[in-house]
Amino acid sequence: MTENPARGLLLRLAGPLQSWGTHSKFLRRDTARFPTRSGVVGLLAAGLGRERQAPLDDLTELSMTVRVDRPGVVLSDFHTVGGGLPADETVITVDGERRTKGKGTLVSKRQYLADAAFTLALTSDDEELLHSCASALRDPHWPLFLGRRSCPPEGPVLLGTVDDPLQHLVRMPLAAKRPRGGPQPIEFYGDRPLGVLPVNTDAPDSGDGDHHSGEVTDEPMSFAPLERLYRPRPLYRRAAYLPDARYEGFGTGYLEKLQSYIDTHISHPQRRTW
Amino acid sequence: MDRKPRFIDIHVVQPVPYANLNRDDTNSVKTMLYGDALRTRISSQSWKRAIREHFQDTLGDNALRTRRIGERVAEVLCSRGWEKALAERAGAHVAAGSSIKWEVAKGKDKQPITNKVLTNALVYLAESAVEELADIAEAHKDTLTTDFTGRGKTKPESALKGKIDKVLTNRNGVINLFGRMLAEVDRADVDGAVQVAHAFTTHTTEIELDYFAAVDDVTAMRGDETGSGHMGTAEFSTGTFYRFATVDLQELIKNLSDDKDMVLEAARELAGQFLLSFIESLPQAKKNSTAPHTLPHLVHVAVRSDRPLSFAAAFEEPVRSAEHGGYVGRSVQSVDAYSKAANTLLGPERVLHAAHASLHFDKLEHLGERHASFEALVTTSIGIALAEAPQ
Repeated sequence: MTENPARGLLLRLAGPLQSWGTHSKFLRRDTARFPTRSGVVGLLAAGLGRERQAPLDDLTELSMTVRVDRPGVVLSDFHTVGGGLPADETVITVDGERRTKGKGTLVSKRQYLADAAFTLALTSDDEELLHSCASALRDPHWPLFLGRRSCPPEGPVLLGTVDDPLQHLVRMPLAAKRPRGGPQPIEFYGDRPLGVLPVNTDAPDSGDGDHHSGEVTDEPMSFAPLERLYRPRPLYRRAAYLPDARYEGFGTGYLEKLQSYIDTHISHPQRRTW
Repeated sequence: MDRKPRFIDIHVVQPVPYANLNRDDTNSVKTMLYGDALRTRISSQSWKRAIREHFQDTLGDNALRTRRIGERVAEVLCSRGWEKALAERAGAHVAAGSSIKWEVAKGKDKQPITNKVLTNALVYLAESAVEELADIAEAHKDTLTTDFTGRGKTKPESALKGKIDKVLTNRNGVINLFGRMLAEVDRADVDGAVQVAHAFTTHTTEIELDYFAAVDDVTAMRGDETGSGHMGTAEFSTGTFYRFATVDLQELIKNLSDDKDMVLEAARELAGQFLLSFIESLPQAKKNSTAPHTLPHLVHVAVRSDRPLSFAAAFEEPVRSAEHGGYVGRSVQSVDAYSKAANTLLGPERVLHAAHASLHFDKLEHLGERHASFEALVTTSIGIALAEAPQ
């Protein structure tokens, strides 16, 4: 584990809806406010075409730093299964009764994160691993999704393979409009201390990013059906004010700014090899 | 595992007037915030059900999703001339003979009903598999003579075990396309080859609260009272939707690979019918009160060699209505503009084929060749995707 890893991938995780479950089971499915390690490792595993039983230890070696371009809002979705059946065909309740007419449906609540956008740095000293992850994100074996299959990413996911990814993470255009009520701090989340982030104008109440502010149980150990297993890891947070010029808005316009940043600052011999 | 990606993306812009195609638990229109603006939303699972039903109606390749497989088998056995009591007994043994956990159904008095077994999970299987399960029962007719109560030591159904699981793992086109979760039976899980996104309006929408009153005909006739027979409110909204789905052609081919000779033909038919169903289907909620049967204004299909690419961000900045009203025209132009930006950024050589069909009159420069009909668009695109599909 080096203090300031030399190389990494830059990713953009944005879409109308995302869902990064941390303790979802059965009929209640929650979302965290930022992409989880299990979600991102899952994204890479889908890209690499790994079956659910396949080992993940190489992927969990990657360190992940998230920039919250737009935090989004939590959306609670009402989801039903098996509706439209007559009363005598509905699911049986625990005490052996039929559900009453009109209530035969299984109901689940699913949370999504709506209107969020994240930029990520995945860092590692393992050049080969970075290379295979980059090509998995560029030409994925299975379609990529943001935590749940109904949440495809919008636009590009892989932005490039770069030296000093944290530098770019701070400098890349923000997928947000300049806040109306004056400067707002931009949040960063990491699985390692964030003191190394090249920012100097920290928000007053956010600490130095070198002391973890809690734990998240999102480190995946297995995605095998019925044997999913996660372990906790520390969560580091840091908030910093970024210059107004970084705010580049939404949609097509943002994409054009992103492209011009990539063309200017990220060298890549051919676009195809991103 | 060396496999070249091949995805068929479909993008649709479709206006839906005053309707409520997908409601939440309070009968409200489903919504979401996007680009800091409120949109009407139709969940992916809601639209997927409409697609699946349309697909099954067209192809006649029905799938069944049920906990009551035992009863279905008993029905088939009855129609083959079995005595009813024996058929029910056999049906119950079949339902209990899979690896799926089961329970004996209980009546109103909470007493178990003999010979009525429910699986604890919904099984998802081809309609034709019911006949195969009945065949198994037929082959074991002699051993299935005891009533099924779920108690006792004799378990004639255990003789069926492996055979029933084998039928449950079989799959038809619908399952190969949409996938199936059956965690308790080994090798029964099929990952779907299609991915459908939530549909949302390309612009800010408002939810309208429709106040209504119903006239009491007798009161109206006699004129002896004032007031209505009933009143209430219902929610509706109006909007132009962006819809996106993708077919993972390689995954579909993998799911179909049991039948080597027919793989390509089957993939062509399934993927084609999925795309047409995606274009033509509509969730049916409140259809009698609003008749929201509209056509897409734009269908754009892209065959990609890298990854699926949603154009949702074309509408992150909500579309503003045109000078004289209307969102459809500007929404179509937004797709065109976004397609240009995204394909420039990712490199145009990743798109093997792009085409569209539209009611829009202006020339669309970045959405590929124009087709006269949805069917021509779909057939051509799939032809190219399959011709390019590495085996």
